[in-house]
Amino acid sequence: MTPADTAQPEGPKASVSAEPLEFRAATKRYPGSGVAAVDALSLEVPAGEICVLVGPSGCGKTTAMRMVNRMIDITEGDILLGGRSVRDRQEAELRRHIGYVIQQIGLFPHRTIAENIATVPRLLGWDRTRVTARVDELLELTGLGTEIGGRYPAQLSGGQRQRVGVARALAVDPPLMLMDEPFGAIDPINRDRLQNEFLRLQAQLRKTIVFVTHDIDEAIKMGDRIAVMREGGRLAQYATPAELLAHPADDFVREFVGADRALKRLALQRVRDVALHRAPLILEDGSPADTSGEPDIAYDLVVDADGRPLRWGTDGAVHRVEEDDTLRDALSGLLQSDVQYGAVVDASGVVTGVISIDLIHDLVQREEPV
Amino acid sequence: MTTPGSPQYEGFFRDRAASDADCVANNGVCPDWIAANLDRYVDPFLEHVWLVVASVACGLLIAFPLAVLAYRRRWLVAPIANVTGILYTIPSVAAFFLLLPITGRGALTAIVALTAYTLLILFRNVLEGLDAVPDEARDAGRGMGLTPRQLLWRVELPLALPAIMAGLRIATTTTVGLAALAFFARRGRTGRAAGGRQGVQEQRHRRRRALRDPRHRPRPDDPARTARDDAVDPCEGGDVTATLAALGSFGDGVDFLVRERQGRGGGDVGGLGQTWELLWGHLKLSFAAMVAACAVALPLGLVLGHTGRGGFLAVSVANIGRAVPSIALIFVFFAWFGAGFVNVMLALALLAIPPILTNTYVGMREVEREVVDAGRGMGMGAGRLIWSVELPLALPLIMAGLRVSAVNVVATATIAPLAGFATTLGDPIINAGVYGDEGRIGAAMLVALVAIATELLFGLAQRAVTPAGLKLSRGTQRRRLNVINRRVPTTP
Ligand SMILES: Nc1ncnc2c1ncn2[C@@H]1O[C@H](COP(=O)(O)OP(=O)(O)OP(=O)(O)O)[C@@H](O)[C@H]1O
Ligand SMILES: [Mg+2]
Repeated sequence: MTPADTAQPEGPKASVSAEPLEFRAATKRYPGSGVAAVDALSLEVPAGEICVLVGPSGCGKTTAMRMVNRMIDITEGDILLGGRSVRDRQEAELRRHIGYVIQQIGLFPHRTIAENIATVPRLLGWDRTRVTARVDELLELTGLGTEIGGRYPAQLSGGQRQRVGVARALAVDPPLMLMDEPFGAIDPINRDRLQNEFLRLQAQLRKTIVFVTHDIDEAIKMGDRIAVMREGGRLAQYATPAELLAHPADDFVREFVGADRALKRLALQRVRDVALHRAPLILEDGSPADTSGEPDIAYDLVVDADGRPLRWGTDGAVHRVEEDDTLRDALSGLLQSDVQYGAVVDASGVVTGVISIDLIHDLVQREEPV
Repeated sequence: MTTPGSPQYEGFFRDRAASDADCVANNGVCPDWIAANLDRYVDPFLEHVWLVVASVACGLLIAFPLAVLAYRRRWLVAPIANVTGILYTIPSVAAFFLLLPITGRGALTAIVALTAYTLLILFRNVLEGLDAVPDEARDAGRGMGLTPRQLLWRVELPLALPAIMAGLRIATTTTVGLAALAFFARRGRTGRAAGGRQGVQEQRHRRRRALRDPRHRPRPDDPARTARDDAVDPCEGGDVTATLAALGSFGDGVDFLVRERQGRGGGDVGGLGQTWELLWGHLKLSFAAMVAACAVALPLGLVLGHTGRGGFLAVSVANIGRAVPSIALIFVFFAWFGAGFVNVMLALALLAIPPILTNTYVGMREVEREVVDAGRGMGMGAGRLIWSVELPLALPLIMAGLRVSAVNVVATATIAPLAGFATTLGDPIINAGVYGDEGRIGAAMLVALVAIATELLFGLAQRAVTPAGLKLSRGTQRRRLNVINRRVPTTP
């Protein structure tokens, strides 16, 4: 038994584990194929971060991911997990300590949900009470509820099955999770929900995750870092989402990221994070309500005694923007209401500043001069 | 020895056995004799073709309307499939003899029996063909104002035609193999019944009359009194005898099974003791053959299926197995290795291997790749993966293969006496000269029962081993290509 075998953390509290992952010129050539499926891929994923592999179909994302748990043999180069080469480890032992989720989920149809989740703990020889406790814990953690444990996969919805797949992969609290298009087969509304749920879970668990998708929007949403791959298994760019959107490395990435990357960038920023306009705030009796800071627009904003916006000047209707909204939603709201300015309000409705279409426009321009 | 005027195929068998001493020396392979007597093959060949064509045509005439009906009224599918399935299970040798008392000796019996075997194949293929018609096509037709009848003839049937033709092809090859056995339906006169078809029908007529009117019961001095009556009378079963007599030849058959009587060859035949002995021998032989076949085919199928290699082998074995008529296999074994339990058992095992091997292989390959992939990805070794993931999921198909093989073996064990192992239920069927016609009918009934029981038993087992989680997901049974779901009866 390796140390990893005996270190058996119980749930998030005891969570040891997240280990950094490093590809070192990892290369895969399938036998009989001249070109490499993955060509000298080098990248580092810090412990506890989500690295999204994204790229067009057939560019080698799945191959790259499956080399990590040695489902596919590495032709050249190396992959290090927690500083140790995966090639030095026993295949079965390595795989039992890497969570593995695939698009089709691959639940065992002849086993109940509880038995499915218990697969790896049983392989590791955990005792029965410990397995049961862990299964229940995971069912709660993934929001499924323990009563589902006795059912068979055929009795679950697609979204529930996906959660079971994630729970099963998390069973022994592995330091690394591999997820191959885990939400690919789910309808857009449910996918959005599962993504949010998963991000919440990740905020709690802080696993190192390699996440494969061909959907750039999903990559931007899920990734701490994004590795854009192109045909022939070459890495086109490895960067944070904001960086990727602001400075695509080449035409391929620019095109892949999409013509709407300005909007995508706006989706990454929240209203509260940008420098807003300040309007002169006055009370209904005409007296100034606020003295801090110099107003940079000329229109008076009338507020009530608590600071909630009432109207512009004498009769202009106020369009409100939540400060937690993304810039993209804010822009959409402004365009829809056919106004230049919106009053930004916090959770209690108190005005914190003013946003304008021009301001959003300037933000986009400043970060990426055309 | 050929009597002038007797049909050639009659002499064909007797002559061949008696004529050429070289054949015996040559392990029964006598190319010279075959070359010298080539003309003798012509008539049986034409006869064979006629039987096949007539049977398949009759089969289509019956199965086609049934399938169309079941296509419209879904609840009919299960009952029709079950009944035709049971017909399909009855070993053909038994079927021929069971039909004799009803349809008489001759082509009619053969055609009825062969037709019965085509029903399941044709019914299923026509139905599957219709089911496979794309919904869009049907919808478009209906949208253009076709009546249900027009829809059937102009859209559904043309689209189902390839499947129907495939059914016809399978039915034809099956019937070609089976028709070789039709000689049983014609031959095998045992002296007493030499009146042939007329004799049988006359007897039947008399019996029916006796049933309606006690006055026509044959009296002891009645010249029409037959050996059958002699065999029954000494036992004097009162009511029982009367009841059995009312069932005609079948009653005689049952009577043979439970009551001992003087055989034509001198010794005592029939009775529970002998029935049990033959049944036990039959089951023992079949069981031994199945065990031997499983010992070879299961591990091989599991390993090939797991690795995905040797698919060609597994499928070829199945195809060869399908093509070789089992009767031929038995005789070849007999000729090369001689008589005896072990040899016959091995021949039967050889017959049983293809369905088990193929179904095991296909069952393993059909386990969804992502499930296997997930298992591997979680760190399961090959052994564990086979044992706790692939095998349970393949088990229903494996059991289907076992079922096909078992029914096949039980049926083929019937002709074991031809290959020198006499203690099976086939003995009274083949050696009617010793056991009498009632022995033949009785044994034929028992063989049919054993085959049907085997089929049902394995059917139950198949259901029992299907994992609960699979039953849930297979609400609508997927169509499985390439799988031997049924015995392909080139066997007796
Ligand atoms: N087992 C294999 N043998 C040979 N070539 C393979 C094999 N698996 C994948 N390939 C090839 O390697 C390349 C990369 O495949 P891979 O499955 O990694 O792509 P992918 O990026 O995951 O694509 P997708 O988005 O469609 O899943 C493809 O060109 C594919 O045809
Ligand atoms: Mg892929």
